[in-house]
Amino acid sequence: MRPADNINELIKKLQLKASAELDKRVHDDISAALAESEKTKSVLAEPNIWRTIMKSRTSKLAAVAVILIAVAISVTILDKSVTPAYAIEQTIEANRGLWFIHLKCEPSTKGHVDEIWAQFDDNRQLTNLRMNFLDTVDGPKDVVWHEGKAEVWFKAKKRIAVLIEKDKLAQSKMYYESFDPKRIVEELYQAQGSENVQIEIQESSAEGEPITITMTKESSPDVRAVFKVDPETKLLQQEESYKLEDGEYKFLGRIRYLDYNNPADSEIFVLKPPADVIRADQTTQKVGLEKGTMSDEESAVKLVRQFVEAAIAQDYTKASKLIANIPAGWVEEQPYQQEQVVRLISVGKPELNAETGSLSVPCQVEVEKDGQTSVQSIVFCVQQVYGQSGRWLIINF
Amino acid sequence: MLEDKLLILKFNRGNREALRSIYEKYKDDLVTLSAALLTDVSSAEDVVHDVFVSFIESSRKFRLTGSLKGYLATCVANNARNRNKAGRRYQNAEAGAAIPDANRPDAAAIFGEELRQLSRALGRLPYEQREVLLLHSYSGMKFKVIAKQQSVSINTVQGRYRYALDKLRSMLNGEMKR
Repeated sequence: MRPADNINELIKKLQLKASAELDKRVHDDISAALAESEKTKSVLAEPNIWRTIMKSRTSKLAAVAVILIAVAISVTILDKSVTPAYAIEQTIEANRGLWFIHLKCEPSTKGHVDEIWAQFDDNRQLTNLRMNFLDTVDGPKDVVWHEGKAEVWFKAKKRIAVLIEKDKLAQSKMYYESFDPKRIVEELYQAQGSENVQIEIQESSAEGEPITITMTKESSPDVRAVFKVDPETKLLQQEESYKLEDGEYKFLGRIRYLDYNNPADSEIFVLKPPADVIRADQTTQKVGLEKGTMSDEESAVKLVRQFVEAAIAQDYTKASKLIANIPAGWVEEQPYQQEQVVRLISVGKPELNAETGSLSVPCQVEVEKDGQTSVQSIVFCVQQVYGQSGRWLIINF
Repeated sequence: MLEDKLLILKFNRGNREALRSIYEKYKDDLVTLSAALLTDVSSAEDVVHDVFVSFIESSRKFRLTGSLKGYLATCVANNARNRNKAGRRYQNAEAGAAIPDANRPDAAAIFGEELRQLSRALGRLPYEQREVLLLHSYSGMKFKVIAKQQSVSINTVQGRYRYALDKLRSMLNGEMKR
């Protein structure tokens, strides 16, 4: 039986053993928790003694007097207090009115999002999203999710891909959630009730100074999150992460919440590229090659063959459909077209790029320029078409 | 099922052995589920530890309404999802490339040679598809229960399941032919 013939059966075969270390951790926790529980039981038994004492009439009168004095003292203290203590619930309440969020991640590093803008509808559902990446495997790129379509502007390649891919949209949404201040604060609030999480809230006496919340989990004591909250609006200003190294917490990264409900640019969810950027819309027609019953590798090889044959025949309309529906004129103007491809010599074995899921297909072609022929090696990068199940296209070469 | 109810009854009364029995009964399945979700054994064990710590804390209040295995699997999935979200902030996590690297040595070695291809292919699925597939196929949870747990419609869950199966089939067929 081949694995793909019955995936469910194969999944059921997955079996790992919990390590002895995990066993020890859990069993120790069970012992500690139950020992604590025994102590609590003893404390809970004390009210019986209290109840016995309170049966006396004199005791009852004395107790009433004590309560009245306590109430009087507390009223005096409350009168003197100016600001009530901060509670995380206040930030949860403040978050309810959020419909636009702009945040920035620091430091800017390869593969990490740099800046995010998010907009929500009346039902608090994410409707528009923009994420700018400074440095990725594709170079810098801006991703905009707007009206159910994703537009990706590959800045170094001067190309915009327009696509509909439910999985990618869901991934983008899920990715955004890891930065969403509403979710972060709600998790912080829930963690507050756990015995295994230490949360410390510090309010500064200086006017305008942010409220600081420090969270450390017993399960990962080497990681610490520090939140800053605006004392006026009660909204999150930033979250910083630290990791314990050599006895001190070292700064890992920061999310700064720059704007709430204040979009500086009303068209932030519209990409505005320069005129020389090519727009490849994969939502208006089918692109690439139908895979059919072929394997991924077979379809990748066939795709490359068809593209080179189209280039030899100078059929740029066909060639453009195999490259993400890029306009035929652009394909014709590419530098390699200054040398006319006259023959496909060989197509090599595709190699999987585990990071992107694409396949690299090497090939050799014979080109002619000014009556002279030469052999050139080209590596085509191919992958599945977003939102067009069963189709593959060339994304780069 | 009856055995689980008895264990929970004892667990509610603070019976240490009942708690140990529950852990011993489900620990391997939960570590496997967590490792398949996160493609990282070390984090997987942390997830199971966190789940049991929370479970211990709930001893007197806990009431079993469905299956205990399903309840614990849901807790593991929730915890793993949160870790996945948090981890992506400071890992290689650009949109569209947020899938854990299934070529990492620990991910590839998780399940031994026989299931290595499946492990790698699972790691290349989008997280939410992988979660639905594993909760349904590995932990035996119904789509309705998964939908409720993830606050999405049952159609979305079934769609994710189908996509996951299609992609896995495609990836595994590709691997077998190479």
